[in-house]
Amino acid sequence: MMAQPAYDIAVIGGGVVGLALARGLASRGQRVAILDEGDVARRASRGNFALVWVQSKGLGMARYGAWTTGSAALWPTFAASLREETGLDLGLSQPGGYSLCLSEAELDARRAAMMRMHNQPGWEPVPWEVQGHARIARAMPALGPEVVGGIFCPLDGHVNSLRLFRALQASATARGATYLPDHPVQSIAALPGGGFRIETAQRALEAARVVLAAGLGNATLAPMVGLDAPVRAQRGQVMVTEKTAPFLTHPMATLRQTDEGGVMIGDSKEEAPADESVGPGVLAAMARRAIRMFPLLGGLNVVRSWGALRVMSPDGFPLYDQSAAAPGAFLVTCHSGVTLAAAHAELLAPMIARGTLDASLAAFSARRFDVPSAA
Amino acid sequence: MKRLPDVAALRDTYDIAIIGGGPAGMAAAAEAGGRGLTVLLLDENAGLGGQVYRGVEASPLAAVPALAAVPAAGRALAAAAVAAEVEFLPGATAWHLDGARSLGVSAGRVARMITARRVIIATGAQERPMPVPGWTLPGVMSVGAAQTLLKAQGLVPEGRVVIAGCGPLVWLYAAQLVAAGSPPALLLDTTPRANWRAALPHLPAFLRSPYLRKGLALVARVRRAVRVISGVGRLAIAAHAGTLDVTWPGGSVATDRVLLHQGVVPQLNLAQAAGCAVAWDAAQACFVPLTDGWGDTDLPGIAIAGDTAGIGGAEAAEASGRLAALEALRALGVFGAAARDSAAAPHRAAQAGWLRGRAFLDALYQPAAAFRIAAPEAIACRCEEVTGAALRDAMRLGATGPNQAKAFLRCGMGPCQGRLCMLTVVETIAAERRVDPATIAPLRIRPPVKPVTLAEIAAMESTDAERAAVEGRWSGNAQQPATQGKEARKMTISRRGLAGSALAMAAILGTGRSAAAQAAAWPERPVRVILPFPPGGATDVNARLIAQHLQERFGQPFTVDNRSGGAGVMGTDMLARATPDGYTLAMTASGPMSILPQLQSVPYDPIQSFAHIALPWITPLLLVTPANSPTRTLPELLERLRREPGRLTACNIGVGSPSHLAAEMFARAFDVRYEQLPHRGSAPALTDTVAGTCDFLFDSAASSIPLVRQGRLRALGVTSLEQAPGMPEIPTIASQGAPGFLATTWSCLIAPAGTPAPIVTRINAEVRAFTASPAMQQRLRDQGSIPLDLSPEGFRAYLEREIATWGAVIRTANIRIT
Amino acid sequence: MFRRLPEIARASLSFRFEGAAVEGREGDSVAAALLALGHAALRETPVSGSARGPYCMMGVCFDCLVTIDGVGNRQACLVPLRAGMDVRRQRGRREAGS
Repeated sequence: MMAQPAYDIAVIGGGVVGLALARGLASRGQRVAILDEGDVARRASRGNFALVWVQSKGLGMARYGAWTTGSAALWPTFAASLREETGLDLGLSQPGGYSLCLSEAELDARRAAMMRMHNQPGWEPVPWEVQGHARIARAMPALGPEVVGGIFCPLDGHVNSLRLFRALQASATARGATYLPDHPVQSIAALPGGGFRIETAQRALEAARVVLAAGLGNATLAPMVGLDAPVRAQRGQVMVTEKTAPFLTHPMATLRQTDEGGVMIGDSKEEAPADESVGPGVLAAMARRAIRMFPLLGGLNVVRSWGALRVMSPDGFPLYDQSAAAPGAFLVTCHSGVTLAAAHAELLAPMIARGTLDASLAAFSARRFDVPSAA
Repeated sequence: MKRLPDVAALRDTYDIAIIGGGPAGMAAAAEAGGRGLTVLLLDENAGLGGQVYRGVEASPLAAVPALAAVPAAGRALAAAAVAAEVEFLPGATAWHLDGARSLGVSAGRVARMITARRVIIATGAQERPMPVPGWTLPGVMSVGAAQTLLKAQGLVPEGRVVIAGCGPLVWLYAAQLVAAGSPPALLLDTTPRANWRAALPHLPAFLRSPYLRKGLALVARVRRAVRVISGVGRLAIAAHAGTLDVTWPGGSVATDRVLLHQGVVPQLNLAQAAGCAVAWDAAQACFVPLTDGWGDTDLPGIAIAGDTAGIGGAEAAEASGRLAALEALRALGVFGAAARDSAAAPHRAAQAGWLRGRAFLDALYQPAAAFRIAAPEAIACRCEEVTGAALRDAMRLGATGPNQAKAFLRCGMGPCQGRLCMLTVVETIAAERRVDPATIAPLRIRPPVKPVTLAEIAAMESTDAERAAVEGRWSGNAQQPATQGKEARKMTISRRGLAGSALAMAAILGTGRSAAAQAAAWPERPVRVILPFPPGGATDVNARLIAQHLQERFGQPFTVDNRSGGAGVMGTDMLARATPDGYTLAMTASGPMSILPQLQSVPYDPIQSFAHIALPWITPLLLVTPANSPTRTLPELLERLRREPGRLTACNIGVGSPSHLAAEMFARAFDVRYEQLPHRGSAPALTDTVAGTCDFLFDSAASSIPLVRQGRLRALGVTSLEQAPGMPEIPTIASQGAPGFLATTWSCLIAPAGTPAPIVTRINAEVRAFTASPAMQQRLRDQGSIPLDLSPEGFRAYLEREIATWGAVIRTANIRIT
Repeated sequence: MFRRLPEIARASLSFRFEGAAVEGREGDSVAAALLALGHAALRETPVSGSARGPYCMMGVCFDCLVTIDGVGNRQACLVPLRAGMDVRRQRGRREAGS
């Protein structure tokens, strides 16, 4: 009979998904270990655009739209409770956001996509509207003349994601979670009496339950606990400018000004990338679009660029699963870890703490892919 | 030397690009010029000299008798560089360098990308940060900064000056101030007393080195004129009523200016951004790049010379620049190894002489550990104002290195990109964690390594694939009319491909063996097989089987190298640009070879850019419907389509995919109309068809056969001309009312154009033999493929027919991708 | 602050700093000219508003940022002084317009 394991839950992965879950679990009294890789690791979270974004989520899965909207609605109390606990102001701002369009065709396509999304059976209404150039320019006078209009959703916003990570880490550890860096996981074995033995590069540890939140690493870890994590890497590249006096009052899907003042410009979607390197050709394409949206950006200095590998499921929607073969093993992966951080901490973590995912999350199971993947 | 006025005057490509006009760069230019090659020298400043010979061309100190010797030091070298046949662009920042030797240059706020066959990074050194409390106060500068003001503008600090720190520059500058008649009020020497003992073993070598004489005279001159306090172990600076208060254990003084210095370290940001490997050097307590005796890094064609390769001083840097240039000349074929070595001999000897004394200086002047880490109240990161205390907080939260620390605290996110904080962060973390700094990885650096405006970045070129990676986002799931014109559908002949192969043929023939002899001897070393798709897919798996067979037959490794991107275009293009010597092949597919070039402009020509080796089999598509669809045969489906025009829905796996094109062909062949619903890939399309959301779908036999066999899909027809051996029960579409209906996908083995024909023939024969094996035939049957037995000419003819077939569909259906 | 060695005779250049007419010399960088005029602090940081001035004089510390002819965040030590330049302190974040 296995002795009482050291941890109730081992969360594998210290990115925004793992940390949000760890915080949610620790604040519900679970003894949590967070197993993270070292200082240099793929870390999809580093590529985040810090958006808390609703408007384009859910075409192809109505349930995802509702899940996202719910998370965005939870964000204000989530941010407030983190500020109270840690003293860190996350800079959450939800003034509504835009997808700006540079041609009528683009605007038509986006409008059509929004309408198709809203016509899906089971869709829970989300406020949105098409705004023309003049209307958007009143909110942001720096708007460029080539912008014909855009989709505005009042629920969209953004946050200071670095402070989010710090706050999640501080909150989780303050509530007793143990953060273990330089502990890449090599294998997970279900123990006969229940629980799991996790082998890392440093040592092995045991936990009653395990949550796989390791992003792209989940693909190799999931089969060890009888789960499937069909995720692929999709590279995104981002640039950021020097700190500038505020002039972008709303976040855009590919452009936002941080509370520190730098303007972030993204982002690309490159399938099957060789690595996370940045390339001037992609940055140039991003720069051109950004300047067409706000010509003033042209004069700003870009001080940094970086790339990261998003964690994409075949349809782009999250994977939430619990293992039948190895009860107590959970899988959590998504590419919108910042937007969903509130839901992960406040809705998903309690389910994991209780030991079972709600039936309401069935749509997110990897079983929806029960067809062989194609070449 | 030709001084260029702006980036527009730069050539597109140079034989040798030297980045940095200090001693190493000037020496490299002097060596490389006049050999019939195009050589470019770049520097950020208005003139030559870098930092250590700043202002060498026009120093105001020439007019000052007491200091006229100062600019003399680099004059001969600068004269040699000016006399050299090189192009020089002053005021230019190199902000991008990558492994392909693309160099981003910005001058006058205009940027340009150029390429070079060889790059010599000679970006010199910078002063090590000295994070004492108060080091960010106005009035506190580095000693090097003050010396630059002296050399470039003839400026000397007024009022009370305190110099604090250690290292030769401290004594050198103090001596220069004395000579200028403005001796510093105080010199606080932070050299740890213990260093003398540590340096002792190196003393004999130092005594034999040229440093000895210079050094002793300097120190004596300073000590005669300046109050010196030695062994200072701690320092703090505070602002107080318009002056600065400097305190150290046992004393304090009010002063107007404080100059700090504790040695120099390599300026690595450009090298790191390019991908050069670096490692921690314990003796110099900094990161140094990994280079060989010629300065070559692990990146082909990129070398590092001078202090950037490891601090050695100006004279050693000059020798290092010459050596790097000589090796570049050899690599470009100007002379052979023997000539290079004999030209290099005097410079090697000089370099060794100068480096002999360094070990002693390195040991003596290694800054005390206390000065290399940030005290809690001191600022570790100047740009983001992160204190040592905050750094320790981040460590308590779990940051184990500078990259995580950056994520928590923003240190390293400012415009200096870690130049003034990375070493402090690494050593502070190492000290807290009690680990060797060598176990901590440096901050990851990416271009732009110096700020460049967004407009300058926007002016760089993008390939269509790169543009699609950014702009393709908005088209979502709907098919969009393109904004590109006919040009997008023209196939462009790759001049690069043809020129490249001509050059390569010259290189092959230039080695003295006949092309025939080389072809007969092939393969004599490993062969690389580029696979322009990600690992794990059917193309990848089959390519590996072929590669393994070739490896067994030819006795050399055939290594598959996945290079995906742009749906196969990137890897295919990479092959087009490779040397056609038989050592680089690619296993690519019908998408990048026959469809994509007609939907967008690609940088190669499928016919002209390649030697066509083998097309071993084709995989048809299946026309499938949901299992419970009311139409059980193709005639029934057609009847329903005619009864309800435009009402049925066909999935496809993506705009421009064979799945989409086959559906268009089908519509035209049978004159029916229906709605097309693009999906992102095969899996979602199959899911929707199984679920009945779509009425039918064309998808590759390999992906759809399993579902057909499981009874979840029904197959109404196959798109090949003949029956697929593995699916004899599925009739061809051609036989059901559309003679000649042919829509298949295929993989193929290619090499760059100009690859010797005998090599092509040998590989073709082996691939055909492999495909004919019983095991492979069974495998092909299982995946629904049809083996072919084509010669290289047959492959080429097949390709031409495919291009025509797909082209016709694309044009009549007006298909474009944006 | 910093004095010019008397033996050096370089032509004078007129420019403006913080709206006042001042002079530098041919061959000066903007930073050198300002230091010679006695100004140690050239900017206020965006993070805390702290005063900063040139530190490295070689373009790696980014503390010598000034606004030149309306364009913010220029590194004064890398910009050669030209007659007629309008130089102002960089107070916090720069403005996007130019």
